[in-house]
Amino acid sequence: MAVTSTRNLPSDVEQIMTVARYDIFKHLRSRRLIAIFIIEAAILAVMLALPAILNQPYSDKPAEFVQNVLVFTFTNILIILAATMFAGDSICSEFQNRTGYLVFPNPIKKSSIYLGKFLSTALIVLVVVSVWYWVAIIAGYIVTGGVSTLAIESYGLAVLYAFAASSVGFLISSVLKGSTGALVLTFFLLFMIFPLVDSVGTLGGIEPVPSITYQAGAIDAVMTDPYPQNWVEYANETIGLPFNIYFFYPSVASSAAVMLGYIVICNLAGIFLFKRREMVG
Amino acid sequence: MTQEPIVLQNLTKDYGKGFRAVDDLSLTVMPGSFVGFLGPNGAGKTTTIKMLTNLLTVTSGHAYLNGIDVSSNPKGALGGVGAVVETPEFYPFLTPNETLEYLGAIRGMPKADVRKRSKEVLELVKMTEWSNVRIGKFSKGMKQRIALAQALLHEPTIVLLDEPTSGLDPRGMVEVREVLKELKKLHYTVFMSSHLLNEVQEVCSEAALIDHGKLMAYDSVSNLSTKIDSKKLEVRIADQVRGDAMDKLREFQGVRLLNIVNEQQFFIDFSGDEQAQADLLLKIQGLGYRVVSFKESGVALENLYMSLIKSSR
Ligand SMILES: Nc1ncnc2c1ncn2[C@@H]1O[C@H](COP(=O)(O)OP(=O)(O)O)[C@@H](O)[C@H]1O
Ligand SMILES: [Mg+2]
Repeated sequence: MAVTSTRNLPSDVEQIMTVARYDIFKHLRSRRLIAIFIIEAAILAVMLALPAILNQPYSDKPAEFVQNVLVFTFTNILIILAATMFAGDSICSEFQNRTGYLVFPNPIKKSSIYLGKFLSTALIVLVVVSVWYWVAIIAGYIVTGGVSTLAIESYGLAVLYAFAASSVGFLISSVLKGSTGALVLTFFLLFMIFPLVDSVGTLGGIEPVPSITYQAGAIDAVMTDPYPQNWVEYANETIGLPFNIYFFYPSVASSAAVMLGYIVICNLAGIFLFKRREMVG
Repeated sequence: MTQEPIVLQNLTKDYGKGFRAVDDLSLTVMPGSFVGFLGPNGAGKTTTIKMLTNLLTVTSGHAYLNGIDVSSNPKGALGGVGAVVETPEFYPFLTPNETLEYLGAIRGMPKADVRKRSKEVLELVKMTEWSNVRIGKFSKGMKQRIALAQALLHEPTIVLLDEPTSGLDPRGMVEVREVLKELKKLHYTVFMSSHLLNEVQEVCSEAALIDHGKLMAYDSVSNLSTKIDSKKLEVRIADQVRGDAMDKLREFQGVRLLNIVNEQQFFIDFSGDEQAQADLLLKIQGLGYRVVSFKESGVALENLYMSLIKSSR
């Protein structure tokens, strides 16, 4: 009889790739992927057609054109939705659906399972964000005849934001018991709780530098030429403004740095918690 | 490799604070043996197997598989292991063949081997006709058989099974037991938990008895059976049971316990050879009873099992 020994086990990297491949397969056979592409296509179609419908001219500046199509509110929602749907329950579903009983007793490190799944999610959100940007950039090229590096920078930041938001989803997924709770928490954390904290900080005159959703603002800011500067509308009793109003704009560098920080820290914490998590029940 | 496939060293698991589910368990399984890990519900069987398969962290002690500590090197320790723990769930979007491809790839099997072995193991568990159907809607029995198939896919040296027949209907149980008997022929080292004595007696060569997380006995099934020399005799009579006659019977050589079931039936725990047993029948008849039937009931191992469990309460 063949004796399987540790010698011919695949390397960690090979196993990560295997996990990623089958996880992508899972997404390809799921309704979630179809759903997000339908949402994406619908918004793009409306935004591309909007000037024509309203009888207004399309922008002739490549960056502005892309900015007009990819309204930041929609980019933000799309990325949060993608992170929720493809990251929010990736780890806890193995526990809740009891598939962990099948997978964990294999000769594979739990960190490899985690990383394989993250790789798969990263690839899916990359495709979602890429479709979003490339449709707008190509349409912009057709209309304006140019492609702006600012739009490409925005695309890069959006991809980083999608990875960072997914990392938050993975961390939540490593902690929470149920899939529904993890999905809901991921969504509301990114969609409401972070932005709320951002607003409170901004009102108090504190730039919410560590906030992922604040830093996501650079995705839009970078397409504005010239780059918007922080400014303050000082309190002025004569025009009825009782307190200072602050406007903060994250720079591209700080945005990229904070996103990378989220990716590294959330996933390190996620792996740590996943490793220690026991398969009970 | 010459080391024993499974070694448990003072293995202990506490749930939360205070509750000790597995208590200082030490046990060595020899190559090629088929060990039944026998104990009543809640004895700590699943907890032990979960620690062996990296599903639970160990509170103290060690679990070694093929000489490698599961806690410190789970990837290495589980390399030669196939396991079925609880009733696992499958990815509903994959077919049995795809599931086996996935697990085969993780375990480092070449694609051609996976294909060849998938065919063999699915045949073994009689799931060939379902090999390309998504598992999503499979019944529990079907999933249990796929679970067995995946455990054997890579021809592991060690097979760990946690109550492989639990939750199955009688036919499913028989089918799974047939598979287990096949395993015995193939000389895998198997460690199988069960709360069913007859199952352990039917398929295992050794039995480790566990209760309240403690090892009560560990020996070959045949040794355990002879260790306790009393057997249970069931006696039915055509007359009414009388108290005075029963008292006389209790004093008879070899009678350890007498249990009156109803007015015409009683059980005797009896130790003695065949001659003594024949004399016992004469004695009962000598008391004036017309004996309808006089037969051995229950198996010796069951008596041992029950007495060990009782003594640990
Ligand atoms: N997650 C858990 N938390 C607390 N106690 C548990 C947990 N899992 C099992 N137990 C307890 O540990 C003991 C052993 O359980 P288990 O190993 O499942 O027994 P068996 O498999 O032999 O039926 C039982 O008393 C059970 O109630
Ligand atoms: Mg159990």
